[in-house]
Amino acid sequence: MNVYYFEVKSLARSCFIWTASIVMVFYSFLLFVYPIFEDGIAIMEVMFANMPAEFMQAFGLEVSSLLNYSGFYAFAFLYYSLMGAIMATHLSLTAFAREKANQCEEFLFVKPMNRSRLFWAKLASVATCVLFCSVCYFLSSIHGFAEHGGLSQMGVLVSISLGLQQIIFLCIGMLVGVCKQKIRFISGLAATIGFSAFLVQTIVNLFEEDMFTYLSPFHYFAPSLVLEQNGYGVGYMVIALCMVLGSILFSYQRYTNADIAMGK
Amino acid sequence: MNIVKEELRVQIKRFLYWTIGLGVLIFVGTAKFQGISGANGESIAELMSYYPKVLLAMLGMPQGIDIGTLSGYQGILAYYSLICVCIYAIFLGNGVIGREMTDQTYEFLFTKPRSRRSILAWKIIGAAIPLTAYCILNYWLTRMALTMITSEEIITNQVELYGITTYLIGLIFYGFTILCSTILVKSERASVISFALFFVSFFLGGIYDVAEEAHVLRIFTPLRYFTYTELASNNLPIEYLVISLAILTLSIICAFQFFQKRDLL
Repeated sequence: MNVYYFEVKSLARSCFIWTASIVMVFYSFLLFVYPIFEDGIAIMEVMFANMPAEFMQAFGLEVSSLLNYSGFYAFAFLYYSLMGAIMATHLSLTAFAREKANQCEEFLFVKPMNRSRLFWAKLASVATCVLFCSVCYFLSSIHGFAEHGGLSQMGVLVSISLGLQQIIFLCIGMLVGVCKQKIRFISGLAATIGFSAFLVQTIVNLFEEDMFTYLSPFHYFAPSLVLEQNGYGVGYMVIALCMVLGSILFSYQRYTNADIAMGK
Repeated sequence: MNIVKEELRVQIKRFLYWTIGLGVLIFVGTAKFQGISGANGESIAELMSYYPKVLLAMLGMPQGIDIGTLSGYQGILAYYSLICVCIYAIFLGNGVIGREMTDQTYEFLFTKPRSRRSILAWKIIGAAIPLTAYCILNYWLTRMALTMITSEEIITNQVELYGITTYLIGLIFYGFTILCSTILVKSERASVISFALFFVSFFLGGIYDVAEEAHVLRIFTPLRYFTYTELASNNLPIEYLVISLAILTLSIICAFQFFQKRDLL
């Protein structure tokens, strides 16, 4: 338990800062941006109503699904998910690669505790922090839905999305942290992973082909897809589950067996 | 010169990865334009004009941009390349001082018969070479990608302007990161601050696009120093050109000052 408490304590500060900024960004979107969006809704409804039906079909646009709070939420989620992803990656990289970055793995491994227990303790501590953030976000997101147009089943599902996405990025961070030989700047690496996922999402969006969306973790639980299909896609859930289990198994194997990285 | 060589040797692998990423982005993005414009470029422009500004800004499409035209479309792609360039610049800037600091090899370097000033100068030049190469590649790949598609629009000027401004903004982040890592004792903290600045700039950029009365914000948002509307009409905002050069020079000069007095820890 010592390792667990130590890790939670050392992750707590950045976990609080990240959670606070995600919740803050959420509420500033809700308070400052949504009113502007809401003003535009009435005008847009009239404009869309005047357009020929074929025209709208050509774009596959469900107008009604765009012009309400859920539609707004789906767009704004881009920002929350980017922050959430970087946060999860950052925390798991910190937990799993801190010793590597400080070149003090030896000191940890000579402690009378085997590596597999170390691994689970670290994983549990990161999971605790990510869970904390997800719960905070979940509550504020539910609050947002309740304030604007009432809470539906979809609202609850969509609010969980961030947490699920964070689990995936937690695993990516863990995998990189355990496998990469040499790690210098943890936060830089985390930001790079987060923004790369963001760019992959953009490229995948450009392709407009469903097959490629499996490459982009941001797509798995994206509210726009959830709202469109009235639920999470089964394929995405399976892939996400495989990714999570696979990366835990692989990282565990690696962490318990790998040589201590010598400074190159 | 040895320092530059060493710097390049260290950077080469990461440079290749980043170039591949950029290449995919540019080529896939540009190729996709054919689909958009071929299908119904006109109607997209019409549809986009109905979208509320907020939505467009949130999607990374600032006001006045029309993705139905090649020029507008390229403007959006260039914004994504800009994000790539900035992150890469922060990475390089961090490495200049941070690498030796985390590896605790500064003692070895300072025993060499070179002054701190010249060590820092060569290191800054050494890491600026990949950044410059990256920006040149960005410009060149964009030109290459544009030759693939057929369009009557000629946007050579715009692409050139985007190439130059992207490089400038990259340099701002590069200089700022170097300054941070000379001031702060812990290099990890410098990297946190530079990325935080980038993040804030990214978000402020979104706010800038939404709010009409937010021109004060622009100074704090390097990502919005050169906007699409200005570049597409072929004018380079001189005041922001001056501001960016000033920020760059100031941070490099200050970096030299602080580096002289730095303790080895």
